[in-house]
Amino acid sequence: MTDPVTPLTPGTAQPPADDPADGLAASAAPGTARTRPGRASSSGARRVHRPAGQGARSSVLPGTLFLLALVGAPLVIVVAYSFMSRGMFGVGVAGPFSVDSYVRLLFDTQLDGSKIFDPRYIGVFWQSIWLAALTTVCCAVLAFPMAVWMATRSPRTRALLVFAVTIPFWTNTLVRTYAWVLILNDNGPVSGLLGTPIGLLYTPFATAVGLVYVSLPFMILPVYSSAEKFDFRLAEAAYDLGARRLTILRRVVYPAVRPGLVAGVVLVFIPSLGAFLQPQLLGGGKSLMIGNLIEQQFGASRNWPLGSAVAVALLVLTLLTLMGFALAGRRGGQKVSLM
Amino acid sequence: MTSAASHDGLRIKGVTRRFPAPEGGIVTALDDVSLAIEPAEFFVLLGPSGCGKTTLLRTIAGLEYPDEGEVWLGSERLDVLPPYKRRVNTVFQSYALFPHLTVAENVSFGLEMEGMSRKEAAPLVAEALELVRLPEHGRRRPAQLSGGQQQRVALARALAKRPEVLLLDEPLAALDLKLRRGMQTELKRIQQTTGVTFVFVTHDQEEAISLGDRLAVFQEGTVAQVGTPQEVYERPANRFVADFIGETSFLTAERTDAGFRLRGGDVLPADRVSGAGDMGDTGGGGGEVTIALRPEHLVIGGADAPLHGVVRESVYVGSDVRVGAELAGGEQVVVRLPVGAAFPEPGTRVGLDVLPGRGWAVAS
Repeated sequence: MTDPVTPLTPGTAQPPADDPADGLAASAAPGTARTRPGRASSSGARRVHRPAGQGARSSVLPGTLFLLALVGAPLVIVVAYSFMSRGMFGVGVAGPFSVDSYVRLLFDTQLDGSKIFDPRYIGVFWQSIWLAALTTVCCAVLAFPMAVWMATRSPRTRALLVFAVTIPFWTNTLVRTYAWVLILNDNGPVSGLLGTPIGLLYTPFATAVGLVYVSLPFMILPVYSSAEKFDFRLAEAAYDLGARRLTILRRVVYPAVRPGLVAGVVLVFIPSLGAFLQPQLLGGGKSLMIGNLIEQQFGASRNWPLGSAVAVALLVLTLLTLMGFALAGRRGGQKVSLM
Repeated sequence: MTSAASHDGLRIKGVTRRFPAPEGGIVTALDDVSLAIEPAEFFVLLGPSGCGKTTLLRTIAGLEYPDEGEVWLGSERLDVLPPYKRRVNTVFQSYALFPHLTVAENVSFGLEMEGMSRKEAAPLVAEALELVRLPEHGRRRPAQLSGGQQQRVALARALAKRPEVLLLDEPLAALDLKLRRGMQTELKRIQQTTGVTFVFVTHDQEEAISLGDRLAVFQEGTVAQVGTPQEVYERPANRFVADFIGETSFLTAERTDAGFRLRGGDVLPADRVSGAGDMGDTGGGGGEVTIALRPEHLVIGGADAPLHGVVRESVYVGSDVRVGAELAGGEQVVVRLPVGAAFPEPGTRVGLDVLPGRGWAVAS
């Protein structure tokens, strides 16, 4: 992607993503860009204002319909549900407009009808943000050297390594997460190696391990795609100008790899924020994340409006995060793109 | 910038560098190369691609380490030092400007590596950009500059470090002809004002001859000849050098008492050829010698001229006319005629002569 005014726009150049969070990013980011013309708007403005012919207009129609049906409609339904009440026996929704579900996110209603502040849901959000951030940092720390190392191999080896990174995608995430249950449980190989069971499974640590494991390829691939384009003759030039190895990494390699790193952060942080498989299976349901909360409301708790309200809150959080990255990208003068 | 020539010159002593070849085996890129480059000299390393000249440059810079041999700058042994401890900087063929930094930040980079703050470096940066005549471009990014301007920034970035030796790796190869001519003049001017030793790699013999105070011609990892452009052009050490630099016709001849007998039976008088005394001594009486002839040292004469041939083609090249002729023995020679001279038609039989002492006997 080359348009400097619309950072973080996966949807403009890629086919509509099937993940609702990504789809939302696609519909939101162009809007934010258009309302705030950037300083580097010369090329972008020219592109936006180029008179669109009849052909151009009809060619965007299928994509628009696709987005409306698969992203817009579900979104409208979720938002609508969040402003209704529980249906009969908790199945579905019913009743008139109500903000009760949103109020419940922040307040607990006492028996006498008075409302007091309730930090439990906020706690779940906080826990999710914290775990997602931890996952992102761990992935970035692991992926950066890995991707730079990959990029310095011969073209043949590089192709093999990229292939190797994608191998986990061949197996369902659920199955791979169960594999971690086997690895981490008290009779598993980790405890076996340590000689004594130390209760790794069903801890936030296990959740984080699972999240990092699942997310790592999504960090490695975009960072690698930036690192692969890096001209290593620049590193030689820096070396020649008196820079030591660490300085070269920090001042020459890192700025070049930064767009990939930002893309990777988005690709890891946002899905991790809504993860429910890993906290459920590896965290033992003890460390609740937003995803688990939503799943519970639509499942066991049978409170669809509350589940919808949590989902909307997650969407808003995601949006704010994306906007934050877009802003940071603009300030850095970097073109941020996903892959 | 004042003269940086505080050292006693750059000494390359018996440097050998081998690489594993892609298809297996070992390639010797540099084979026991020794050179003495004097302070404030514009020294050119000339040779066809793959002859080892760039490897030598990278060895001086510290981007390669020699398998054998030493590199000395004055009393300091360079080849054991990392690049950041060498008072040597490089202008790369690809320019290698940092795309995320402005022009001024690029030039400032090397100074900041010496521990200067950006503010402290600013006057030196301005001075360096002034030197390459780009004082107004400090805030631009490399991508916003033309190739020639990027070239100047790369030069400023390396010179801002005030190196004792500046290495230039085919810096003009990517520029078009006209721009290249302009930059050659500019480089010469900068070298003379700064007094920095320039070691300049090129495969362009014309560039080498017009720029270099002295040049070293590389042949498959060894130095075939070192000398001033005039020495190398007029007295090439061997057939390779004669062939690589300038346009040359070669004649194989047998040394006789009367002179040099060619294959076709014509005899070139001995006074037309120099360098042959040595050849005769080494080759023994009656030995074979190769005579190198430049087009401008051949003349078309009358029927009494010592050599005889048939004109094959006459090509008008603007500044002169090039006549290709075939001698009696089948050898092809090229003669340069001044414009305005009679234009011999193909097929004409002509007599040919060599200006006295201008034929040059070389080792084959």
